[in-house]
Amino acid sequence: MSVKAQTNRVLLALPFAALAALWGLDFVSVQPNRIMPGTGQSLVAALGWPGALLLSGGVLAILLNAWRITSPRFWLTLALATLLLALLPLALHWAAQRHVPADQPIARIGLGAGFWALVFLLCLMIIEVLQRLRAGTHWRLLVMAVVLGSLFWFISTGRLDELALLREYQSRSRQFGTALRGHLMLVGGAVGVSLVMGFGLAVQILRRPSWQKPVLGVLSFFQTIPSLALFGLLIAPLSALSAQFPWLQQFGIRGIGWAPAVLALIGYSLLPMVRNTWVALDGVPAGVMEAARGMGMSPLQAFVRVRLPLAVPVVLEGVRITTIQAIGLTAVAALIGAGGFGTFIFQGLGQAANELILLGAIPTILLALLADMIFTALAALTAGYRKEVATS
Amino acid sequence: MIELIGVTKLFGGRAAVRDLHLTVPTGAFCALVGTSGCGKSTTLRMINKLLPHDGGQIHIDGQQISQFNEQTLRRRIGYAIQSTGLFPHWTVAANIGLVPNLLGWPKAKVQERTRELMALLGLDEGTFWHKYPSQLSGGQAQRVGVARALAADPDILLMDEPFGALDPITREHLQNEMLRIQSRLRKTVVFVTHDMDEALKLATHVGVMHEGRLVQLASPETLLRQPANGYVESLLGSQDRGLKLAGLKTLAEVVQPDDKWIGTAARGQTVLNLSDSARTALSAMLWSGQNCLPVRNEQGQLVGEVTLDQLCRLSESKA
Repeated sequence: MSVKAQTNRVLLALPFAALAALWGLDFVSVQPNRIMPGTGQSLVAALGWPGALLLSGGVLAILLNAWRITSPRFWLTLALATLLLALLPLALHWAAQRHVPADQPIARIGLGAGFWALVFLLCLMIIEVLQRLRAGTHWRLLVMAVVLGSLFWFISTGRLDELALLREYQSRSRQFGTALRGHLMLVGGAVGVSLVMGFGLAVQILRRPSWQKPVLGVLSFFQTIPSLALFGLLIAPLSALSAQFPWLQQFGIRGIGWAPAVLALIGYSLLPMVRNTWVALDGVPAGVMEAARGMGMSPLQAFVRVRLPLAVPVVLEGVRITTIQAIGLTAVAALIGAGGFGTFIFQGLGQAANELILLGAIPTILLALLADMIFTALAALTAGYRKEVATS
Repeated sequence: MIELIGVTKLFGGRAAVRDLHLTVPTGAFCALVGTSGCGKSTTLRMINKLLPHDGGQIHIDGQQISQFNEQTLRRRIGYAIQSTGLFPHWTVAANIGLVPNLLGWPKAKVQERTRELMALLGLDEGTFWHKYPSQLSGGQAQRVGVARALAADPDILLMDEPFGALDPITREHLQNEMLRIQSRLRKTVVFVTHDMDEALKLATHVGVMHEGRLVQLASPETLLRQPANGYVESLLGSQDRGLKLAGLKTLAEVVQPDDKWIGTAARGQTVLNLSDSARTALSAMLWSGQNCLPVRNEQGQLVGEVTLDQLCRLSESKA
């Protein structure tokens, strides 16, 4: 795994761009209250010279380290970028202390373009280094855990209370809980149902290969319908249904609400679920299945003890893709009253309140990242016998 | 004993195996040879019901296989295919213990049997017990495959080109192991291969198949001396048939051990063993430029000598 000592242009360009963004764009903005527009603060104004130099110094170190970089120094860049990302909440805490006096409970700090640019570029640097190092999944998970852990620690200890985002959260903490629960239930329901249905369909396709084209064709067609349109299209038939059978309304099955949302989400989830499950089951080497039968396993034993365990890592990959897709789509489902984090996004759009949009968007992204982490880890765990190959 | 009586197998109306009659006596090693698509693998897979036969009867120890439950039948018959057949998510020990576990043997007995088989196939227990198939070389994986087939001590062993994917050196090594194991266990073996040399080396009965028919079934020597038709001849390779025949004979069949040799020292550099084949002796003569070479027994004592004349007569004798 030795990397030749040569200058990495990506790791030269990204910190350079980050420095330009830090010094050229506003780092944060300060708003006296929710309505008044904020005033932009440059890096020095936001953090003071020590903070500004410390942050810039970290980025500069990554830039200099890119010169004739070697394998151990890639690890140094990884550590530096992760550390900077994990300490950004601290920078925001400093900025809040400098600009929001404790006696102004509605004044707030907004995140500026410079801050977002830095977050984005640091993430790109980490991705680049992880790829160069061919680092395993566990390193990716470790970096995520460090960064998210630090963020949650700063939030939970109240050190970021002055952020506009958290001010919005404080005034909506109960709605936030409802939105989180709603989002998770919509995603969990849709993914759960599509996993069961998808598994059944995949097994059928495996048994009857002639089913493959029609089934995948219909599911691909679902994917081409814009999500907004599908949510809308389902309103009419479900309204008619609940009008016909009023008792359905007791379970919340109406033209709007969770019912059309879950149906649409299942429609979108089936294709990745069926395709991955089928590919996974079909990909088990024919020789292995022949041996299983030839040794005297019953069809059920061969399926449960050989085909299924060998397919699980790829099936989990399908669940991962489906879950991430569903988390994103659920945000749109708020439009038809299904709840979830999309509620905040559409409220924010209506009130032109950026921070409220972020209050819906950021948890959605974090949920997606979390799902990615969990399923990646599970897939790596269930493919343990393959990992041993790499280390031997 | 395995008997195939007028067995036919159709694939989409085309006969893959036609009216095949084959008897493999108990303890015999029967190799089915032929080019790909000749029906040899199909024949093998009909014996353990991986494929149903469309006509004729298949008997095992006098009983029709249609009377057996598929799984019960297969658990009684060892089955080895190319190394791709090992379960990649199971350790070597779990792979070997597969059939005993299916048969519901107690855990301790399965472990003991697995140990026995690993020893029989020269797989070091400490090294391989917990390894996964992907961590094995081709030869090691194939040993595990053979051990797995032997695990429940079946009377019958079906092997479908088990050494097909191996390099020549590993392949020869495993062929020798197979001979050694067979001389100890005396299983009834049906062995499919496209390699005539492999068949001549291992088998007591060689069946040549062509376009779904059994063209000839004979001992290796008879096959070499009296090929049934031009096709069999072409498979044997007409040019080096003499050498192949010599490869079947050991010097023990040529040299009469004589006590007067005991105690004398060999004159030349080259000394042959009684267990060497006549082919090896010919090669040694060509190499050393001598037409008479000394022969020693298992204890390393000289017991006689072999001449080029004797070797030539050996191949002529029953022509």
